[in-house]
Amino acid sequence: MDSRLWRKVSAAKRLTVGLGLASTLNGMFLVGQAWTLARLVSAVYLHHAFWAGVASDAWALLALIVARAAILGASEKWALDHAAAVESHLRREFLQALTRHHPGALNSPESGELLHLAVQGIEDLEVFLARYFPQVIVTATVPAIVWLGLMVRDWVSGLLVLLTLPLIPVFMVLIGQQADKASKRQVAVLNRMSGHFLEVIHGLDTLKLFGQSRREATAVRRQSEEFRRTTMKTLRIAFLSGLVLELIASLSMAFVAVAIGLRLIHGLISFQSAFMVLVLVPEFYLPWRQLGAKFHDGLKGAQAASMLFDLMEGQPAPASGGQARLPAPGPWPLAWRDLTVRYAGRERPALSRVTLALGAGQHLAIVGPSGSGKSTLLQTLLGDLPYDGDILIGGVNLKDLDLTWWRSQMAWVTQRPYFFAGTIRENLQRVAPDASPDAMEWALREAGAWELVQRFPRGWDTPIGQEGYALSGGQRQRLALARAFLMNRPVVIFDEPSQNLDLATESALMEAMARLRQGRTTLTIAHRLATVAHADLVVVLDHGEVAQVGTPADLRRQPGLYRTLLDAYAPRGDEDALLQADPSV
Amino acid sequence: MRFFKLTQAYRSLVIAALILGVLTAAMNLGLQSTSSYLIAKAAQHPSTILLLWVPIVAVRFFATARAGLRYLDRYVGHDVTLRWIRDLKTALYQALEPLSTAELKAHHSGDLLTRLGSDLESLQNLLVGFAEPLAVAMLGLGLVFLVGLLLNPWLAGLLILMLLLAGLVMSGGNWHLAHLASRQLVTLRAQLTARVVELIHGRTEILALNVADTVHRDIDQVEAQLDAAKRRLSRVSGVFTGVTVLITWGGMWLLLAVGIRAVHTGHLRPLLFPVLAMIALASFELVGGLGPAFRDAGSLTEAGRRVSELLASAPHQAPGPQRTARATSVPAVQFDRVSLVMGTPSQKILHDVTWELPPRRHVALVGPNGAGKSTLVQLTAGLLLPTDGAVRIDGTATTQWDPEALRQHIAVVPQFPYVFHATLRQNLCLADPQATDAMLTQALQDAGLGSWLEQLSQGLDTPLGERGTSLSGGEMKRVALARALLKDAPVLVLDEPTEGLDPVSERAVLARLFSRARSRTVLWITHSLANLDLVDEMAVLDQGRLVDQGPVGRLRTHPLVQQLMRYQTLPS
Ligand SMILES: Nc1ncnc2c1ncn2[C@@H]1O[C@H](COP(=O)(O)OP(=O)(O)OP(=O)(O)O)[C@@H](O)[C@H]1O
Ligand SMILES: Nc1ncnc2c1ncn2[C@@H]1O[C@H](COP(=O)(O)OP(=O)(O)OP(=O)(O)O)[C@@H](O)[C@H]1O
Ligand SMILES: [Mg+2]
Repeated sequence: MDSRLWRKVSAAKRLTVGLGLASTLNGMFLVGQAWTLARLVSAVYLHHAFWAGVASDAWALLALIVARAAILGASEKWALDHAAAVESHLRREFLQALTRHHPGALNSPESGELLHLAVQGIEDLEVFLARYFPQVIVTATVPAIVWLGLMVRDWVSGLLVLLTLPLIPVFMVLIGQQADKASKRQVAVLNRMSGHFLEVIHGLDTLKLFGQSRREATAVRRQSEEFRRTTMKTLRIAFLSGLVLELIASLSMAFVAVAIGLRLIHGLISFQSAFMVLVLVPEFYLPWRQLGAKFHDGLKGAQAASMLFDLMEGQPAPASGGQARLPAPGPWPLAWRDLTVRYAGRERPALSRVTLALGAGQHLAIVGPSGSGKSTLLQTLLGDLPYDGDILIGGVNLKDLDLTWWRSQMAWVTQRPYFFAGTIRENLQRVAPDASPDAMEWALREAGAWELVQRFPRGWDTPIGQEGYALSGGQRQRLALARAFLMNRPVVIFDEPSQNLDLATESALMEAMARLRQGRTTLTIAHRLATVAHADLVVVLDHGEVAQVGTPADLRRQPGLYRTLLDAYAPRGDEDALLQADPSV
Repeated sequence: MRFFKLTQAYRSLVIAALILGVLTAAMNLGLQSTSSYLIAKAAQHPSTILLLWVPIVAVRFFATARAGLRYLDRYVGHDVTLRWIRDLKTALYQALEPLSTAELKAHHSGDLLTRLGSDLESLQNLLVGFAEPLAVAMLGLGLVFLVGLLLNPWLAGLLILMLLLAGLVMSGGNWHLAHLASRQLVTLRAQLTARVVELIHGRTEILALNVADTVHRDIDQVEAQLDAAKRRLSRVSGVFTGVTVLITWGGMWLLLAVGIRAVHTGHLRPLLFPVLAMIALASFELVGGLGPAFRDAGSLTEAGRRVSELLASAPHQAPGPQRTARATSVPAVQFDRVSLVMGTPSQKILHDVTWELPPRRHVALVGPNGAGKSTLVQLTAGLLLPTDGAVRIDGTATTQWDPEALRQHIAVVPQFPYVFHATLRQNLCLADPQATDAMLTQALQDAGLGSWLEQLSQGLDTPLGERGTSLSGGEMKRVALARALLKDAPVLVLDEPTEGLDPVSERAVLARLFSRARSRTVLWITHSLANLDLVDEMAVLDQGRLVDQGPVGRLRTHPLVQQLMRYQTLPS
């Protein structure tokens, strides 16, 4: 088992100490219990004692029973509570790590796998800690104590039991190795299945469109069958180990029973000792038997734990962790110096040696063909992408900036907005928990979403569902815009704000954006050049390089990519289209 | 419940597992009683060991049989369970498959995943964790009574009474105290999964909106509730672990106390007094399993409810024979007074749409946001079925088509395409598993991705990342376009296919697309009026109603279109 668990999680340490104590006590009481019981039975059986003769033994026995009940109950609760505490702790850590690290850095297991690990895997670990691990402790303590008790009363039986002992660990190790390998495979299969399944659910429409969805049913069956087979394989090993342990226990019990029976005949042992041995011998083997039975449960959790720790530790430290904050309020000047961004598996850098400066409160427009690195340029501001070169914000390097603070200074509309299951209002409140209803209404109006919200039966209390599925594409875009309007931040970043919008909404948006720009720095990516005609600075990217920089008016006059993009409509002599492309012509 | 039916195929195995469980318990009882009898007998110093021969053999037999039977019992029990889970999982998928993405998301994918994952995991306990302890307790009781009769009928009666009482306390107490918390566990786990799905899928957005703290706080909240439920359960669990010990040993203690009297009054042979102790211990073990069984029964019923609810989701297709024969030529697509009601609270999204898409025509569909254009696409592909009226493909209503046969006629580029966490090749080959490299490259070139493909170091085998994260917005749309082009379908439906493209590439892609698709029907949804010269016809949809349709030239003067275009000329 992974020692990292004990090093990192204090609850795991407390769990171990508590259980060790409890099971030592339990072992001692167990011996005491067997002893008093044997005295009592022997007195009644051999000496025909009446109640008065055994009362003290009887009460002592009852007291021991009650004490054991209390110890076992308490240690069960102790184990469960601490396992749950470990679970919460680890889950929090893991989810924090997931947020912190760029998915590229996480060597990218599928979301479904991460999800499975975060929920079911940690749950399995809890089973490991609450069920298997206590058994390990019991196995480490109780048999030893019971054996000592045996030795004191009847050393012959003690030695007999000892003879079978070496068989047990040898066997356990053998089985352990086998099962470990098998269960690793099995956990991998399970993870893969669950990772795959999340994808299938989200991509079901696509699978249907290509006639592949029914085939998935066979795949599900095949995978479940494979899972059954691998599971049965590990179980077979685990059960077989159980069988052998059980046989060892049973046969040794039978052996001891027969041996003491024979010695009884010859008067070599008292009945009292014999009976005590009979009660104790099963207790000696019980922990091992139970360990064998729980072996399988334990394995899954142990695997999950080492996968979790591997994922959490295998990560490079997140890009930035400075402390600096800038004098409020913004906006601040922004500059990229010699910025190069490379993605794994791409020959060409997504951005190469981009140098660009933007004054405080200026408005930057980024244009260029698809895939030229526009979104990448903006993403670098999030402090989440590895890059070479420098990004300076108000003269401070991004790497020295307190990232949480910096992120709270920006309002974003990303290219693929994400919504949380809940109502429209909840989605707005998520970005601005203290926003007044008036402010929310204003934001919705500015984003052209107010009328449509009014049209919904429950207004802004209408649930939009997971990822906002109940909204149309354009409605979703408007909600994303409304969020950004509501945030009221000095730096505003729009990645294709007018995508999916109808033209009427788009031009209303242009006016709203003009109002929003006052006193803020804005960065806008646009394909429809109408969106950027008001920029102070336009940067034209092409294949990750800066092709042109200048004011829109300058660029319109120069030959170059900007002019080409603008002219895209012109050859057909379509005035409307040209106007649409750039209203300032 | 429907899901029990699935076990019919291996009912005999289920029964075998139960019988094996009971037999194992019986062997334990036998072992304990014969071994104590053996030493009690031996303590009488019999003249010859032969008198002990029977108990000695019995002890060995019971010992070996117990081990063997326990092995078989566990093996069969788990095997049956896993078979059942496998079949349940398949049945669940088959129940999910006809649902549309919207219906799936209405459940929340995290919740669905929980049903298919941890709910099934809970159900795994049904046989081994619940049914077997119950059977063992009930049948074991009879067995104990029989064995007890050999000792003394009164003591046997007392033992049974105590066992019954113990059984009731264990089952009733656990059920009463734990079932609520244990139920909650199931729903809370589903909630937790749903939130973690959002955390993982929405990661970039969470950072960009700087809402990581609140998202984590929400998760912590669910986690805290989960923790509270678990603590309630651990309390019950702790108490009943103690109670089990108390009942087992305390019960034996009581029985011994009574036994002492019985020995004295001559109702019980002293020889049997030690046996009584051991039988008492073994028989209380029989009811010991009831505690955990009933503690987890709440999870079991809740998980069972959730799973059967999903299994029972309404079948989508109309009953009766479905058409599987492909249309022989390019089929017409007709909307016949189509209305659609959707959502909670339900809303009428399409009103009485009557419209025809003649074969080989290229038609642009325009209209403001939320007009119902994308919904129309889903109706065409049979992903949604109309509430009223019919969508006919080649004269057959979509409800009468076999869904897979229907979709062979239609290739779609959805407004928000889905790219799988796989390589470029695997994503494209969804459309045509047999496609050669040349075909794939051609499709990518047609979609305007030729030069992009060339700079990928792994070419077609480049992994595209989770939901296409390694693609830019425009690239993702065009990968979806290439995939649709690769599918050799007579009707092509494009929902804003060039969103995210610059005007130069947009024009190039569209021009090539329309000229190559002369022999196909094309339905093209757009918000940009710029490239309308490329199509034959145009239709205008507004608030779920088809407002007008006809040649592009005429419709350009339609008031709604005029309105959209007039906005464009507003001075800035
Ligand atoms: N995570 C990633 N891994 C690998 N390559 C990536 C990744 N993200 C982006 N790329 C590649 O980097 C290039 C630039 O992507 P970016 O998203 O910045 O383009 P863009 O200019 O915003 O395009 P669009 O206008 O289509 O949105 C693209 O070719 C894309 O394939
Ligand atoms: N699953 C759903 N449940 C409830 N309402 C829905 C659902 N899907 C769509 N709607 C509603 O149906 C209407 C039409 O949506 P649709 O996506 O068809 O619009 P659209 O014309 O494609 O718009 P856009 O141009 O914005 O993409 C919208 O008002 C939307 O809110
Ligand atoms: Mg749409």
